[in-house]
Amino acid sequence: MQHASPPPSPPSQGTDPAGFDFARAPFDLLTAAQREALADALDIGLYPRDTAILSREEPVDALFVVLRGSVQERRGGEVAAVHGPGDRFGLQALYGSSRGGGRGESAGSTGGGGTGGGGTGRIRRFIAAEDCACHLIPRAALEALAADNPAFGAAVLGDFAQRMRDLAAERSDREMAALTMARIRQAYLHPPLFVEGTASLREAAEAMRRNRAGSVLVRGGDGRTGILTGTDLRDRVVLDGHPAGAPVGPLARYDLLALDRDDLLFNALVLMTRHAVRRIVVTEDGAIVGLLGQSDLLAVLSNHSQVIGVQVEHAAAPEDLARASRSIVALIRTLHATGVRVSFIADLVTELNRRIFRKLYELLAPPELLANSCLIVMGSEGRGEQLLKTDQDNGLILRDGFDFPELPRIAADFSRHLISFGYPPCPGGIMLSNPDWTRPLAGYKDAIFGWIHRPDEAAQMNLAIFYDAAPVAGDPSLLAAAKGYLLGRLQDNQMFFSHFARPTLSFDTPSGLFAALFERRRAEPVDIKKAGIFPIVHGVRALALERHLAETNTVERIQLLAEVGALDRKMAADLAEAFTILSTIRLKARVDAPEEESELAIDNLVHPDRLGKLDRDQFKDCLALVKSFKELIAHHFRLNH
Amino acid sequence: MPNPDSRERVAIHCEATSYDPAVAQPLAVAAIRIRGNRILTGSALRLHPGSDCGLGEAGDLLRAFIGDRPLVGYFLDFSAAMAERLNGRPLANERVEVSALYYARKIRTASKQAVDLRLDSLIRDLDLPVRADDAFGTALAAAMAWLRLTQDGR
Repeated sequence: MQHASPPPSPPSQGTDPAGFDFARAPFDLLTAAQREALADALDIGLYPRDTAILSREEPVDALFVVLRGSVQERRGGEVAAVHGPGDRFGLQALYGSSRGGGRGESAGSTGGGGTGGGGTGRIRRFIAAEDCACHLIPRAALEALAADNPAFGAAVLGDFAQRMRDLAAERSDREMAALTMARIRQAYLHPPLFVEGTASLREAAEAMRRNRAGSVLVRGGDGRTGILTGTDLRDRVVLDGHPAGAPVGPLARYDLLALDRDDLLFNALVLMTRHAVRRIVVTEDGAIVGLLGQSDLLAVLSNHSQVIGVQVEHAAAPEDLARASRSIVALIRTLHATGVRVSFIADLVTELNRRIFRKLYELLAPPELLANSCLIVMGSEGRGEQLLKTDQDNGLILRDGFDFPELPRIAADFSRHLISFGYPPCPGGIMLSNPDWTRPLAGYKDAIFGWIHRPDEAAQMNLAIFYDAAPVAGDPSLLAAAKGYLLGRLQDNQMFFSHFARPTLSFDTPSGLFAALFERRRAEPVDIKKAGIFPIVHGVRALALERHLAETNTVERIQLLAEVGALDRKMAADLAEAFTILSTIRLKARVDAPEEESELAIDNLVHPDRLGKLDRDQFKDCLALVKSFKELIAHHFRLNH
Repeated sequence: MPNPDSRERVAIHCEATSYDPAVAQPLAVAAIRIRGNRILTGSALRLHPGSDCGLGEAGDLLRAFIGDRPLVGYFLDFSAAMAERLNGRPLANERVEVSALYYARKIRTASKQAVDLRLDSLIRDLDLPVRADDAFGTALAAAMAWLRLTQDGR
């Protein structure tokens, strides 16, 4: 029998070009049987360049996944996003209102439906940017899979913030896994301290004091081993009234919690938590080799930060601070590798940097100067969003009428030392060594007056970073007075705020990069700071300034703006989430970059093709959100007129 | 508008024991409806007459699936002949041969070279995301080629 498929085509190798890519999130969550069901239900659409794939006229009955080519998402007249192979679209159209209630099966909480969040009601259209092929997942098939596989359903149908959280949870699971890989062996073990069961309570207490131990192990008469802690001693003698000469044997506790030295640190934590104890016994080949305390366990995770903190506090000269400062980079790497959240890293690094600045200033400035001045940090340092050492942005506010002849030398020393610690000088000269930023309160007020009433580009920038300023050392009331003056000078001047907000739009936020990404040749790195982080920081800053908010941290400002009703709650939640994610990707890009010397490169470029699938999805969603935030800012401050 | 004609069509392909319609026995039949820009692969008909269904049964299923929709195919006359064999009666449906459409397209661009009508070449030239290595793949390729060739004809 002869197979005839005239003319016969040679058998081709490799994957089916019409096949669906199940490796992509969230489709990778599907089981083999679910994948098969999905593959069987798929339709294929072919769209020549410039045709509308989805528009108002067309009833939507499927979720689209790009197979080949790229699709532009247009809102109003503008291209809001470009979807490349593997990207999906049409869900909003499928499920009605813009971003309103995600249609999670169980999550009825968003309910209400029709209240959908205002402004974004403009019609979206999807246009083929080139000849395109798409897979169409029929609505019925999608819903059947979502019901079958809740994780998949949540990832596909959930709304933006929910979707972000799921992806983040997936990631933290993985990072948690890395964390839980740590072994007890890696922690400090207290050497075991034994006493015989026949020894008296007094002898046990003496042994503990001699060895600075919090407990002793007791060899019981029958070969068992027990433990007696300082707390037990107190309870037995003081409360229960046992004489100090009584033998420890009958009074020790023999229900020892023990783990092997090669067991996971995580298990030790679980064991301690479950039994509400602060130490466990560690064995090796069945023999007791030491005690693991809860604080030692936690120290494995944070010992770096404690060590640095102590180094800073005990510094007697700037050179000691230099050592502490250098270890911050190592700390960031460790924390990041251990899976610690980026907002926590930012808090910690901000705190350490400020401690270093404060200590340095205290070392250099005599008490008299300290009492009559306020050292401030500005920009990202002031907002508490410093992840790595970036340019110095600092200044000094002096009390009016206070004169200190040695000040220029001290200020110059301060800046010089910081440079030697690895904080690069500010290219704009915003640092103590510049007399413009070391002046009396009255001088600052004059400058603020100028920034507000004669706004040019430099004035705008000065105003922006000064608005972010936080006090670090000296008298914080000086900064408070200057900021109070700033907020008092602001009138409800539309022109001023438009002007101030305008830089939010000054850098393009790319959306075409994902289509480009798949056509390797055009995959270009994205400046994540300009495209994503800066627009959020500055847009939020403009809104906060308009409302005279005193907060400096971006996420706190967002939350406060939502509370006073200046930002839609949904937008606020999405924005805070996006800001954190973009900061994480930025840190990751830097930490993962090839190590040069011991410093981390100051590089804001993110190569989308080097991102993991998860990050790429998040990155894309975040940039789309930044784009719509920019529209909001443009509309609010009337920047298009 | 690419397809002002909103009628559905059916892309069809048969594999058989021989190239000679007079003696060939159909082995595999695939039929896929086309609606607008969409190829309804999710509801395609795939039959293996003689193994997973009887010949007559296959004929009935196929006839019901096609209805009076125009047929689209590559080397369509052969597939149609096989379908008629299963049906036991002639198919009166309008027929569109994609290789003919393709030929007409290529000849318009006035190349002096002979037009390569092999299916693989056609798929490559039209840049279709498909691999025609069975009855379904070939029917899908025919559907895609038909869409591409008629959509572009604006």
